[in-house]
Order: sequence, then structure tokens, then C-alpha cells
Amino acid sequence: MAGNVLDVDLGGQVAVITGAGRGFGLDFARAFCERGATSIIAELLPELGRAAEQELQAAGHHAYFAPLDVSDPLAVEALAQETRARHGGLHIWVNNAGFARHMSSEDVPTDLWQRGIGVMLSGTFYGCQSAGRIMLAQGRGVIVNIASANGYLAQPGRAVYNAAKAGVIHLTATLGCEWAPRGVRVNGIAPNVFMTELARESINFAGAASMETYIRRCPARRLGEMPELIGTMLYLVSDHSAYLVGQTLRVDGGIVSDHYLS
Amino acid sequence: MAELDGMLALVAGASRPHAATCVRALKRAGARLALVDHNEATIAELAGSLGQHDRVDTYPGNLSAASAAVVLKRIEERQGTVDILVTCAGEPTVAPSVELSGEDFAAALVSNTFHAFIWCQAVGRKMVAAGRGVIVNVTGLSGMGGWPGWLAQSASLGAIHNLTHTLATEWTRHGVRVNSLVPGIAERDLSDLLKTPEAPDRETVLRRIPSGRFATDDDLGKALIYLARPEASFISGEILRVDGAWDVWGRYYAVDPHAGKR
Repeated sequence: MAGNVLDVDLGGQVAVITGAGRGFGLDFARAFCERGATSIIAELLPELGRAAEQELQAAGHHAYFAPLDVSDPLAVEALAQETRARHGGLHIWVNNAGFARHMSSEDVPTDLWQRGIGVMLSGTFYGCQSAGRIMLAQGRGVIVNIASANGYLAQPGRAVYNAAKAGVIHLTATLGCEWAPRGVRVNGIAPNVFMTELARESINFAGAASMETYIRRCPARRLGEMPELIGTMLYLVSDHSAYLVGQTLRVDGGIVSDHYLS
Repeated sequence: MAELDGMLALVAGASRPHAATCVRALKRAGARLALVDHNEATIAELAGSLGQHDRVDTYPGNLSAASAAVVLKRIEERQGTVDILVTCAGEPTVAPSVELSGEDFAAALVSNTFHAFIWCQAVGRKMVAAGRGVIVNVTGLSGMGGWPGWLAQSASLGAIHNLTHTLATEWTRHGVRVNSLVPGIAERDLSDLLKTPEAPDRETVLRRIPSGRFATDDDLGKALIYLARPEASFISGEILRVDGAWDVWGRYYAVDPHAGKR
């Protein structure tokens, strides 16, 4: 297929991005809008969601905030149905909502475990299922799940996050196989640390490596820059990746490949 | 009664780094031994250190399929049917990949991958016909993923892991189990690790091991006997790491594996 993936035309497409009030999610929503899509900013925190909506609308985009707790399957289903009814279709769904807490595993309270798995693993499944039903009926659609390099790795103090993200990788592979014959592609992205607000917060906890160490241990010797993630996302939601199914692409500067000491 | 009483174990590459450990473990478990290597003096010395010479024989062997067939025939004539085959990987060549000579790269493929292949094929052919047998390919952690500066070793051992997978899919139905055993970093491996800038000193390497200690001969020996025993009768195609969690640790995040509350 001709053309640069960054120039892909998403005109007429409707995209739902969970956790789109800030960080990766907002960047994805903006990138879709800039290429002609309507972006639904699904966000748990209303002030973030509204601010994101304002920002994108001020830039002339079709972007709408929708309050959503992805761990509530009925709410996810309602948003998917409502989006289709209001905007005439549902073409792209990005399961991005997530959060990271760092804690010795023996101290993780049950509700934190349930919340982490509920948002990042169950929430991803609910999104896939609700979007998938609509897309399977349409005979087309693209789902992208945001996993993490951590889904491939073990790290002390990150049992909830890493287990949830590992689950997302396998969920993506399973649904990719299951739905590909019916025109719905499910793929994932596993980023390493990108320069987001959340990254700055999560790197700043007792026991974490310094930013310098962090960078030194990554084969690319730097953190990711958002345009690098956007390019992968646009590749996955466009026909450039029409034969890509069930895969989680690591956009990680090589960190998961490095099994040595760097 | 010893665990492998009277069984005949062929150790190919018996002068190589982990071979003596494997040989002593097999001997302690009651196995009879056929030691093969081109380095006759070293295996004679190893055999001499074991006592009970009637249960240990040595055979000079070269790196060719024809040689393996001839040596195997002599072993069968002198000691009977081989029950267990253990192949051992050789010493690594450690150098930056831009400087690694083509000869050194090719040599690693021959001494590691091709060596494993000729012995698996020669002995495996007999085992498949007999409907029983156990093969263990002893490799190394560099075969698990990227190890900067270890290109030749990493690629040649990674190939053995795939060879293990493929042979398992072909031969397990015929009663022949094929597995790989990956030794952890032992104190004696340090000199090779210290040739790379990522491993400036012993302490850095030690901190990299979540178990907090180097691998011992016992760690490797016990795993080998486990794989050889009927208790592992449904285990085939496995890559068993005895590495104190070296390989799963995505260490980029934390200062050390014991970060957080102890």
C-alpha cells in the first residue's frame, strides 16, 4: 500500500480510546482526529476528560468526552452501543486505560489486585468484547490493546501491573486468532517507558533506578518519544497492517530483547 | 538403589565447561558413562577422577556426522544401548559484534549447534527405533535472548533451543524426550562476563541474579538428573533454566531485585 503511515486517512472513522484524558490515550485520540476520525475520549476522571475534549475541540476536531470506568462491563457495553448509535459506526477501539502502583507483593491489598486486574485485564476484555460484537456484525474493525514491555518481564514490586499486562498480550493473541476470519483485527503495543507524566511519577518511587540508570539499561540509550508510539498506532489501525493479527508490537528501544547486564 | 542405576549416559563434548558437573551428577546417580570429546587427555583425566573405571569409558570424537556414527557404534559394542544423551556447549567467544571474525562465528555454529545436531541425530535415530530415550542439550543463558558481545554463543545456543523444540515435536511420540538445560551463571563463568563493559566486576554480576548467589554444580546436576528420570516422563521440548531467575528479571526498572521491603 502506498503512502506514509503518518499520512493515513481516517476520515469517517469512529474511534474509542479508553483512558484518553491524558498521556498515551490523549495522544492517540489527537492523532486519530488529526487524520479525520471522530475520537471518543473515554475517561474515568471527568476533569481530565473534559479538558481533553476542550483541547481537541478547540483545535477543530470531532472529539467527545464519555465518562467510563472500564472495569464495569455494562458501562463499557453501553458506551460501545451509544457510540455506534450516535456516530453511525465503530471502527477503532483502543484499550489504553491503566495505572501502575509499586508495592511489595506480600503487602498488596486484595482490592488493589482486583482493581488492577479489573481495569487493565478485565477492562481490556470488556472493551474487546463490546467493540468486537459491533465490529463482527459490521465485518470490519480494528482493536488495539496497550500492553507493556513489563508484560514480558518480571520485576519486583510490580506483580499486579506485570501480570495484567502479560494477560493482555495473550488476550490479544487469542482474540486476534478468533476474530481475524471475520474481519476484525486485534493487535497490541508493548511500550517501554515513554516520556509521559505517569512515567515521571512511576519512576519516582523508592527502589526505582535513577533516570540515568534507566536510560543506560535500555539498548536504545534513551526513553521513547511520543511520535514513535503514534507511528505504531497508526500502522496498526490502518490497512498498512492488514495482515497483522494477534501481535503485540514491542516499542521498547530493545529492552525486552536484552537479557544481559546493560 | 541409585536413581539412574545401570543406565548408560553418553556425554558429548565431555571436556566442555559444564560437562564435568553433568558427568559427576550422572555418576553419583548410578549411571554408566560414555565420555566423548576430541580432547582425549581432559576426558581421560575426568574419567580417572570418578573411580570405578569399569563403568566409565572414553572415546575420542571429531565434529562430523561420520565420526559420531563410528563412535556410537564403538560405544554400543563396548557398553550397550545408550539410554541418555547429554550434549554440552563449548566455551564462548566474547567480542563486540563489529569485531567478531566470520571464522569465530562459524566456529561457534559448528562446535555448538552442529555438534548438538550430529549427536542428537546419531543417538536419536537409535532411540526412536527403540521407542525410548532421553536427550538433554546443555546450553547457556546467552541462548535465551540478546547478550551484547556474545553474538556467536547467543546465536548458536538459540539455535540449539529451536533444535530442541523441533526434535521434541518429531520424536516425543516415539518415546524420546528432548529438552534443553540452561545453567545459571556460576562463579567460573565470571571471566567471560567480565570481558564485556556491561559487567565491570563480580558484584555487578551478583546483583543481577535475583537469587543473590552464583549457580552451584548441584543446581545443574540435580536438574539434569530430574530431566533424565521417569518423573519427567511428560516433559519434552522444555528449555529448563536453572538460573536463580536471571532470565525473567526485567531489571531495567529497579536498582536490585530485592528493592522494596524485605
